[in-house]
Amino acid sequence: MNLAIETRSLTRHYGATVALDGLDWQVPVGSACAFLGPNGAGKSTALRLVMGFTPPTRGDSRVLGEDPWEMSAKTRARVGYVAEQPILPPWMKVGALLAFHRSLYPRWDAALERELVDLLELAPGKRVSELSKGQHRRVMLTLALAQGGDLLILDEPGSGLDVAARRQLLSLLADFLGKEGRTLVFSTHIVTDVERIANHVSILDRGRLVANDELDDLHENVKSVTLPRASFDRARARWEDAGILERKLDAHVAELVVRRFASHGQYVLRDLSEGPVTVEHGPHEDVWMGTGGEAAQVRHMALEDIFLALTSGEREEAVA
Amino acid sequence: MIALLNLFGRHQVKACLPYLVLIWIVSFVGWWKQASWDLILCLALVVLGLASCHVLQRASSRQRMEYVAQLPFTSRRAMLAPYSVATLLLLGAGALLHLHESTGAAYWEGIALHRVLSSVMRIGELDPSVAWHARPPYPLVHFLGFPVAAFWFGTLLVESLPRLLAAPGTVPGVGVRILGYAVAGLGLVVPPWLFVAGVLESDPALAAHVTPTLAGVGGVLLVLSLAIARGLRARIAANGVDGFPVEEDTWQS
Repeated sequence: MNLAIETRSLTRHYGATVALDGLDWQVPVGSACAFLGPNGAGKSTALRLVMGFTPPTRGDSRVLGEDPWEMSAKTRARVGYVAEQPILPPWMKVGALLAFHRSLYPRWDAALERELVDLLELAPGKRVSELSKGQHRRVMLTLALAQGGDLLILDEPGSGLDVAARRQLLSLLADFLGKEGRTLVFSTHIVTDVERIANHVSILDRGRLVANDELDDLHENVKSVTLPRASFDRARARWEDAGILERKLDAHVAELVVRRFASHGQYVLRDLSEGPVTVEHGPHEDVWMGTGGEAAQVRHMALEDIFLALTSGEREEAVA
Repeated sequence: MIALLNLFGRHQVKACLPYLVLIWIVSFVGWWKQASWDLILCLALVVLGLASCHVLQRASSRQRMEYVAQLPFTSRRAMLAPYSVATLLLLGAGALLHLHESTGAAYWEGIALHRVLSSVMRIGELDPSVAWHARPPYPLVHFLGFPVAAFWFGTLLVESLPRLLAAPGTVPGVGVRILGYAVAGLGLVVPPWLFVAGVLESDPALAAHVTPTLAGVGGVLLVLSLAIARGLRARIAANGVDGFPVEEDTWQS
């Protein structure tokens, strides 16, 4: 598998604070990868390491096959980046910035630049310092898209944009992905955006990667399961093996969220029954029925619920 | 490198236009009257010095460096570029100082702008009995021109020292800012001292005492500037963009 980004044990400390803790992360070429995580999970740190803005404390990474800290100018020209914070020089005019970038990137798409200037209503005569945060982001996006790179890395691209602007952004990103071999990585808190455009999801929590799957696989793997308490107790070890993210147990019923339903949970459910298991598929849940009369409801989870179950906030709630 | 200088320098040099016009007029007259290439070299050094201090001033924040680092340069080299330029220019200034010392001129006269002014002083070949510092247009040019030299060192110090002393990824605190301003203030105090020294040239005994002191101060500033540039280089090598303090941007909502 061709990888646009690959990190091994990537770790970054800031003094005593561990911002990123042994990140092993792969993003295949051609994917649209959403990078999710609660505030302070280390998303921006990971992206900054991948961009070569700062060296790792431990571990290493490859971006388009090169170490980002030592990346050649030629490869760097293939990586577009939109920062979360405004980073453009405030004293420059938008037109001057566009001209500056045009002269730096050999694959600069002048036609796309003109199209984006019109579409995003950029004012070439305005200084960057006069732009709102949303306008600033549009300029950064124009610069990143028009450079004609193969990898686009966006740190919270939707923040500060209204609904219409966000839809416009998603449409532009979809256009970017239209060409073969292009890879998109974007961190976000807006889960609806993920479901619209991403096919790969990476979830970071407290500096550790807790999920790195194709979106469909994630939906297939993380399930909410309700079953009789006796059935759960009988195969408790196997359920534990499936990775219980949440559990609510009473005398009769066990309600669980499991991490690896498809690979392990399925076996657990089959193991509950002495004979074959039948499955009735519904739009929102499947009902598993064993020959012994054991039944389990397996509910499909929205990405937002999966995210909450996988990250620390939900875990703490479950413990409480 | 040129692209980065263009990015950081061009727009800032515009802000120095009044100074530059003044220097240009003075140097042009000087060149016309004396055809001194030395003068042109000095002027070029001053202009480049201004550009370099603006590069440092504008580049030394995490946001600006993050912007530079994502451009198609080798990122570490791009981050180091402003400091490499500043170091080269300061070394150039040091070489000029050495040159003037070895040719017998007063050590502190080696400061580029002073060399320009000294050349201008020879215009008109006034009565040698009139002290050179009293000849027009020296007093006016001296007072207007020396701030440029002070600005060069001052900006370098005031912008760079707090950034070197502040913890990586933080905004420089009040303490380090005060220290930066104090050191820069030294740079701003030196020019009037130089002027006083000029006045005191009519008293050779006193001038002989003051001049080495001023030379020492200039030397300390130069060494300190170089140390800052080296320190920042080391910090970039260790922390990359995170070695820079965060600039407090104010953006319209």
